[in-house]
Amino acid sequence: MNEYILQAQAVEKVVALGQETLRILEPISLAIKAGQSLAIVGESGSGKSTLLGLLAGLDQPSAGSIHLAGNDLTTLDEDARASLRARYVGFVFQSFQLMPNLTALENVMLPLELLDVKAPGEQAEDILSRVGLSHRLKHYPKQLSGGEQQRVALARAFVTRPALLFADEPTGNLDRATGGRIEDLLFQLNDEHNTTLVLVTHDARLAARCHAEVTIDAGSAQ
Amino acid sequence: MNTVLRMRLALKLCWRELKAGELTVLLAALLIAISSHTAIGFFTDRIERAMTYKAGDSVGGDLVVHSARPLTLTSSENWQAKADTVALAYTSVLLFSSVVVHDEDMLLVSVKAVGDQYPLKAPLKTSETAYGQPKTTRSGPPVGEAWVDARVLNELNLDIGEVLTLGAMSLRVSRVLVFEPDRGGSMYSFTPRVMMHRADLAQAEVLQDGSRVEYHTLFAGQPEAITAYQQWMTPQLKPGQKIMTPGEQASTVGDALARAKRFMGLASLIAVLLAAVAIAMSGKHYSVRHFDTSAMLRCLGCKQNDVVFIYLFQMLLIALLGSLAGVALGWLAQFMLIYFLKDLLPEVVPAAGWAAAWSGMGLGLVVLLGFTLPSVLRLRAVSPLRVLRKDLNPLPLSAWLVYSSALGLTMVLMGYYTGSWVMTLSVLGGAVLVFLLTALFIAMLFVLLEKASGKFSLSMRAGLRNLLRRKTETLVQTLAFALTLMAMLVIVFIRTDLLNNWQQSLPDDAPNHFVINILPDKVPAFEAYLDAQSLVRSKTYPMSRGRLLEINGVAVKQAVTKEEENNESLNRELNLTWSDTLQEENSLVAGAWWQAGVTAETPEVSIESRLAKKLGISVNDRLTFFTGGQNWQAEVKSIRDVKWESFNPNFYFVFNPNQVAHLPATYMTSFYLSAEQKPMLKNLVKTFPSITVFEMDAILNQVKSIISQVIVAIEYVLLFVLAAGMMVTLAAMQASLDERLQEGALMRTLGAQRRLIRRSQWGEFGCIGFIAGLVAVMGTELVSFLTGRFIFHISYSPLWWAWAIVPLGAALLVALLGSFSTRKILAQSPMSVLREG
Repeated sequence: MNEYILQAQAVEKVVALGQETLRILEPISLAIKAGQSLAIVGESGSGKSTLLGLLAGLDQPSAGSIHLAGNDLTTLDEDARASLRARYVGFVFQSFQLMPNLTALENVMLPLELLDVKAPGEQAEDILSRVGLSHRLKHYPKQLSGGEQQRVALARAFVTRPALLFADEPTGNLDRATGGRIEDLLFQLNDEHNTTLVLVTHDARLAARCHAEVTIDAGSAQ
Repeated sequence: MNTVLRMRLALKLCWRELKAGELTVLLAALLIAISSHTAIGFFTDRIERAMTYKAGDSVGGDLVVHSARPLTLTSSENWQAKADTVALAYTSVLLFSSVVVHDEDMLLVSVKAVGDQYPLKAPLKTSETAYGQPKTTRSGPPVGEAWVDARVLNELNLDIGEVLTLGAMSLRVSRVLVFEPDRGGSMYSFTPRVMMHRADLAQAEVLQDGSRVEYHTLFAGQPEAITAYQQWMTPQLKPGQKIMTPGEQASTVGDALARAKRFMGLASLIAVLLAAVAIAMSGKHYSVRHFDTSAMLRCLGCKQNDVVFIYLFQMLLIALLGSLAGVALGWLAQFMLIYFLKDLLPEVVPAAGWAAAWSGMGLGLVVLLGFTLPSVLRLRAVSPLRVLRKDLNPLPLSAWLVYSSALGLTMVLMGYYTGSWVMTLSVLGGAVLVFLLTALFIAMLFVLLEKASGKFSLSMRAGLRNLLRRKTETLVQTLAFALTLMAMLVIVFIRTDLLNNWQQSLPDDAPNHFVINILPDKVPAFEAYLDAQSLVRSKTYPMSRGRLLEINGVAVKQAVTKEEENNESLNRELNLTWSDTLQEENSLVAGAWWQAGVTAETPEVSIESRLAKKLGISVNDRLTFFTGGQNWQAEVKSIRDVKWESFNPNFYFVFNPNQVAHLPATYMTSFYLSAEQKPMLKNLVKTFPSITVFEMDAILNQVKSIISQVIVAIEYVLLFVLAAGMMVTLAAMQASLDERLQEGALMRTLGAQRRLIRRSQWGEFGCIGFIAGLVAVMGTELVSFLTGRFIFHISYSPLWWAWAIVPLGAALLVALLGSFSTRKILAQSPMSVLREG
C-alpha cells in the first residue's frame, strides 16, 4: 500500500453560476502520511472548507483525483464513498453537528451502531469518560455547554478509531480557554489512536501544532 | 448495511426520537385525526345499528317474515327451535278481512289475530273510550275479547263493553286501539281494525281452507343474533315467503336515517380531509428538521438508500403506532359519548363493528405514508456536504406527482367509506377551489399589502413583513386554516339546512288527523266547522276510487317489469283526485301543469314520480282507468315529486278537474289536533256521521321521536369534527414555531418590546385568519350548493351573513390560537432560544 493515506492531485472545483463559471478552488495537490497531521489554513471564504469537503469525499472535484486509503474517490459513487467514510473517516465540525434529539451517549453510540458493533454502549461510555463527560451521558445537546458539545463530538469522532479525522474549525465556536482545552484533547486523542488529522482553521497557533500546513488564499494553495 | 441492521437502527432512532419528543407533533396530528375519524366511524356505526334496531318498532319486529301460510321452511329445519337456541323472541300474527256485526249493522274490517307474545317490540296504545286518553299496553286482547279502532265503534253504533259478532263467535269489545306500531303502510287502508286473540279463531270459524290470510311471523332479539338468523333462514324460504327488515318499511324513518347517514358520512369525510392537511404539514416539518441529521448520517457512512429506508421505516412505525393508538382512543371516545348520551339513545345500543377500526388503520397508513413520502424522499437527496454548508437544501422532488397520487388514494378511500362519489368529488372540488382561490387571493393581497404597508403602524408593519417574507409557508398555513374553517362551515350549514328541512317537513302543527268520506254537499259545512274551531287544516280534495288497467293499451301487469308485477298500486283501488293547481310541496319533474279552465279532449293526468319510474310511465303515455263500471283513457301531462313524509294529503294520480269532475266522489282533508283538543272528535263524528277519521298523531309522534334522536347524534358528531378542526389548526401553527421562536428571540435581543411582538403576531395571524375566512366562505358556498343539490336535495340559499361574520371571526380566532400556540416566544428567554438554535 502507498505510504500516503490521503493524496490529492491537481484537485480543482468549478461551479456554474448561470452562464458564467466560478473557480472556487484552483488546482491543488497535497499528500499526508498515516499518523501525521495537516493544517489547512486560510481566511473566511478562501476555499479551505471546500477543500476539506472534497478530501473527505463529501463532494466531487471538477478535475483531479483524490486517493483515500488507496481508493480513488473520483471514481466512486456517493454510496461507495459513504462506505469508505464509515470505515476510515471521522469528523469534527465547528458547529458540533450533534443530533439534537439524541442524548450525548446516543450520539456517540450512533457510528458504532452503523458499523453494527456489539455492545456500542460500553465503548461509547468509555470514550465519554475519557473526554470527562461520564456525568453527562443522558443529557441532550441543548442541555450541554459549547465546550461539552464539542467534547461529545470528539468522542463520536474517535469512538470508531478512524484512520483519518477531518476537523473543520473545531474551536471556532468556543472561547479561547475552552478552545484551548478542546485542542489539547484533540491532539491527545490523535496521538493515542494514531489517527491522521486534517484540520481546517484560520488560527495560526492551532495550525502550528500540526506536522504540516497548507495555506489557501482565494482558492489557491500558497 | 443489511436490512436487519437498518431495521434495528430505524427502531432505535425512532424510539430515541419519540423519547426526545421529536415525533410528538406528527404523532399527535395522526392521533387526533385517526381518533376523531374512528370515533365518528364507531359512533355512527353504533347509532346506525341502534336506529335500525329502533326502527324495528315500526314493523313490529327486528325481522318479519310475510307468508300466505303458517311459516315452514324448505328444509326440515325447525325455525322455532333455531330461534330458541339464539335467544330470539318470536310470534305470529294473522291478518285477514272479515265482516263484523252488531245489531243490524255490518262492517268490513281487517282482523288481526295475535298470540300471547304480541307485541314483541314497541307497545300498543289503547284507550278505554273512543278518542280517550291513550295508555301504553304491552299485550294483545285476552281470549274472548276484541280491541277495535274508534271507527268500528262509530260505524256500528257500538259502546265499550258491548258485543260484536265475528263468524260464529261473539267477542266483547273491551278497549279502543289508538296505535299499532307495526301497522306501518296500512295506516291509509280503509278497512278499520279489529284485534282478537288467536285462540278464538277456531271457535269463530272464519278461516276455511283457501281463505285469503296473511301470516306475519315477527322476531326480536340482539342485532347480531337477528343478522345470523336472517342469514340462516333466507336460503330456506319458500316462494311467496318474504323477509321484511325495518329498513325496507317505515319510509319516513328510513328517509331520516338515510339522510343522517349521509350527513355523518360527510362528517367523516371532513375528518379525513383535515387529517391529510395536518399530516402533510407535520410531515414536511419533520423532514425539514431532519435535513441535518440525514447529512450527518451520510457523513457517518450511511448510503442514500439506508437513509430512505431508516426514515420510511420510521414513518411506517409512526403510522402503525399512531393509527393503533388513534383507533383505541376513538373507540374510547365513542364509548364515552354513548355513555353520556345513554338517556337520549335507545335502550339497546349494539356493539360497534370492526369496519371503523380497519378504516382508521388503513387511513392512518395511507395518509401518513402518502403525505410524508415526498418529504421523506427529499431526505434522500440531502448532500452530506450540508455538514459544512448549511445552505445546501435538497431540491424539491416532483411533489405534485406524489401529492396527487396521495390525494388520489385518499379519494378512493373516502369514496369507499362514504359510498358517494358525488359527495367525495364535490368536497374535494371545493377543497381544490379553496386551494386555488387562496393562492390567488394571497398573491393579490401580497401586492396590495406591499403597496400599503407603509400606512400601517410599526407593530402591524412587522406582522405584515413576517407574512410577506414567508410567502409559501403563509400560503400553506392559510390553506390549512381555510380548509379547517370550510370543513366546519360546511358541516354547520348542512346540519342547519338538514334540521330546518326536517322541521319544515314535520312542523309542530303538521296534520295528524285525516278525514275521508266527506259528502260533497257537506264540504262547505265541514270546512266551516273546522275553521270555527280555529284548526289548521289542509285543502279539501275530491277523491274517487279507481283502478289502473292499461299503459299505452297494454295491460299493466304485462307492461311492467317482473319485479313490479306485485306493486301495490296495481293490485288495489287507487285514490284519484283532481285539482286546478299543483299541490303545495309537490314539484314537477317532467311535463307541464294544465292551465286552469282549459279543457283538452282527452282527460289529463299528473303522476307521482316514483310510481311513474316503477311502472315505466312517461309524459304523453296513455293510461286506461276503471271507475264506476267504465273504462276510460287519460294522457300523462306531467310527473311530480311528492313529499310523502309531509303528512299532507297526497295522491299518485291528479287529474285536470274539467274532464273528470263528473266522477262519483267524496272528499278528504287533514288537520292538526292537539292532545287537549282530542275530545272534540266525538262531536265532529256526531255532526258529520258519514266521515271516517284516521288518527295519525301516535305514528307522527313515533317518527318525531326517532328524528329527534338522530338530530342529537348529528349534533354530537358535529362537536367532534369541530374539536378535531381546532386541534388540526393548532398543529398547523406548531409547524412554524421553531422559526418564529428564533425570530422572536432575535427581535427581543435587538430591543423589541414584548408588546410590539405580540401586536405584530396579532397582525400576522389576524391577516391569515381573515383571508382564510374569506375563501372558506367561498368554498362553503360551492360545496353547500353541490351537496344540497345533488345529495341532500335541499334548496340552496347564499350565506349572506357568513360573508360578513366569518372572515372577521376567523381573524379573531386564528389570532387567538396563534398567540396561544406561540406564547413560548414571549415566555422563553431570548438567550435560551438562541443557544438552542
